[in-house]
Amino acid sequence: MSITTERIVYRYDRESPAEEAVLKGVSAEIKEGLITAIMGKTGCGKSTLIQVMAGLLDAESGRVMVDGEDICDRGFDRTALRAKLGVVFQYPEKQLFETTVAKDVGFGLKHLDMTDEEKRANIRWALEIMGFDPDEVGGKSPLGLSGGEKRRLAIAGVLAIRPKYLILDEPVAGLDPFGREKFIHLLKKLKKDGTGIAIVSHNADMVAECADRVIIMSDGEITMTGDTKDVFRDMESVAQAGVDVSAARRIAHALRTRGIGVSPDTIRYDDLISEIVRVSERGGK
Amino acid sequence: MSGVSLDVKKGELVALLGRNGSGKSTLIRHFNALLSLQEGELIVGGIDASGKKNIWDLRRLSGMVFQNPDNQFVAPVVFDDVAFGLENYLVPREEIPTRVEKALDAVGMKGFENRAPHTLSGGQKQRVALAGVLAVEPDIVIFDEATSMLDPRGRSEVLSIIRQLHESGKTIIMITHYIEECVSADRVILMDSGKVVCSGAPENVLTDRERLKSAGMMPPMPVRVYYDLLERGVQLDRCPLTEEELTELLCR
Amino acid sequence: MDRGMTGKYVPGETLLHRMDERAKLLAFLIMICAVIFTDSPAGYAVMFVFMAALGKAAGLSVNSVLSSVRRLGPFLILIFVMNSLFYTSEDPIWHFLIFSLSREGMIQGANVVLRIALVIVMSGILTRTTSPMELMSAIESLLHPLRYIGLPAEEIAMILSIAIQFIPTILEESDEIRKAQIARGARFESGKLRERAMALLPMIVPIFISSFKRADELAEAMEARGYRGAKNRTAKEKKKIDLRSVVMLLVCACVCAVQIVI
Repeated sequence: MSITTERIVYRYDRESPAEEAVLKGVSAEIKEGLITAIMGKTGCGKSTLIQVMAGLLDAESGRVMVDGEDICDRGFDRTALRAKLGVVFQYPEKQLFETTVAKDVGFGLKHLDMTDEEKRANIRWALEIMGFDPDEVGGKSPLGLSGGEKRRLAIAGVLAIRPKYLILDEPVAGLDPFGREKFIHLLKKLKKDGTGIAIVSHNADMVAECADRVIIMSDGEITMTGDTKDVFRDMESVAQAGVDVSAARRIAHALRTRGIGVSPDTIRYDDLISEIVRVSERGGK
Repeated sequence: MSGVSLDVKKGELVALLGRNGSGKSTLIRHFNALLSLQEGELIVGGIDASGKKNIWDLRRLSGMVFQNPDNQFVAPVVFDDVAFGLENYLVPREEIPTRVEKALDAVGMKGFENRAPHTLSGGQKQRVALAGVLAVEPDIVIFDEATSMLDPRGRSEVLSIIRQLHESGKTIIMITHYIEECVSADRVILMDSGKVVCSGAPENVLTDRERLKSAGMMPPMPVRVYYDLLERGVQLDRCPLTEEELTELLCR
Repeated sequence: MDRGMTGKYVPGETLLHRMDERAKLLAFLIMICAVIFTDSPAGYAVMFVFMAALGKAAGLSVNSVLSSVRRLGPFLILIFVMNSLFYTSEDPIWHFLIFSLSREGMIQGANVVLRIALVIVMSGILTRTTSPMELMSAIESLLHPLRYIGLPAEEIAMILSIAIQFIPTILEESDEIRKAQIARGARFESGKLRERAMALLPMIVPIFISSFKRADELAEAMEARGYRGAKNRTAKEKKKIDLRSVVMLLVCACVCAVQIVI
């Protein structure tokens, strides 16, 4: 089960030179139970791609298949798509509008075929997984929360439908390292429950920590795709697309060029530490 | 904010570090009288900031670039926006074009005079905002998390211009919660709950793991590597701050 | 949303583009007067020939000039029908309950429709050849004399400038919020009027909140940059009106005079 795009072509006819996003025949796949990162310079088309995947923009040509069904088909019911696909936009805290936290989180459940009981349970679950105490915050006004809390609340509002697929655009932008760590933890937990996750991010360290696969885009096309380790190993091609690799990978690379035998697969922080320890224990140091 | 005492020297590049709500934004808003002093005293470039009468001199002396690149433009084209500050300080009309050109040149945005702000990238917007500040020729430039909403490219554009400004002799105060941005500062001031936790050279403040942790900050990656290696029995000669230093030390 | 937005500024170097923006705005006002006085077939003929000439001088195609009129087509037809049916005439052609179709009614309907169409065409020509910034400075200079009766001309100009600057950003943000809410299952299109109005809340509330925040931050930035009211600022440059623009104004005044006469 997956979200697959097949040769998607999309053109922007409006003038927005800052973010001129086009897609020139993009075929990508978001698999259930995996985290796929989409990386690329601003304006490479990654945000456009996820919006096409989510059925929020209609492609000029190509198909978007969600669990084997073409969502661009006239007969396709978009409500069914909304029930299994969640999208977290950049700075999602902007979308809050209800008078209470519980209402805002429950907004997405309104049109879903569910008993009130189930809805309440979903709201509780979403608030809890985002680190809130439902009894404490449920009745509060969303606008009274702090910036970080608003971000978590907005994400809870997307998670409340218990999406099978989750697409996130720069979810950690503006978060501090601790907030980022917690967020990575959350993604891993959702992944373990079987959620298929796509995440657009500039943050290579975060991608290295949590993504199973990476898609690199440049100028409306996919230039690289594969396991995170394999993609990050080819530093030259990654740099060509204007994308950073993780700090751990950069340091491992610098050490290797100086003749120190750490593995080229070192992309995560913990791997870097254990590699250095391993090499130094061997007496290399 | 309570009982903050600090002293920034002329030509210094000071990084103000602290988590959200630590009081750093409140503090710097006193430097150009966006907030007025309730208690204590504050002298900026020889001007007493406690009274109301010196506000305009103060604001002319210390310019400020804000966090959100979209929310600081007043004019529909770049040229007019950069000229905004000059017009406010009654700079004669004939002087304005040359000063706008000079300021745009200083931030590498020459040739964008007639562009509409919304057609620029985030980094370009912040550079134009900075040009608007520089046109007035302030001695002090304050950056209020000016890189936090930018992509990596925009961030490095802005940071490299901050460095250039510092070299040209301007006094710079930058607020950030990206600890990596503090590494090249002359001095780092760590704040928490409205107080200065400590102030000193980056190699002292940024390597103090306990203190950073108590202020809700995570040390820079090379510092974490140093301590984590220490715990696993690998001792480096000293604690590195940059990736280059770390590699250097590891190769020894 | 802004695709094919009619009347959007198209940069160019045509005669009308190069004309002084104050003269253009003034000419526009004069022409509105002319439209008010137009009521004979000959008068309309003069106006349409003149508009065609202006359109040509602005380098615009007939299609692009008429596109905005066409967009309002249903509305114009409605106006024509209403006027024709509700005009109280001594000598109706056809009468039923409160409806009465008459020659006078139809003439009046045609008059109203043609005038609206003319004004639409004129404003289209103006906004296509004049950038928002030029338009703003033109408004400012025309408002200037009103200072003497206590109108804050500079402030109004400042507000216009900021508004124009923020429109694209706010449009972009609205689009983003709309998509975010659709992704959360919001339905903006279906339902009765009341439901539809309620359905807009998820979009309107966030846009308001964010606009207030924007205004707040902008005010702070302006203050930090030394703004203390529009009066204490370097005076704007006084540009002389060129000969071509004066000629243009005279031509428009003549057209207006002709309309008053015939």
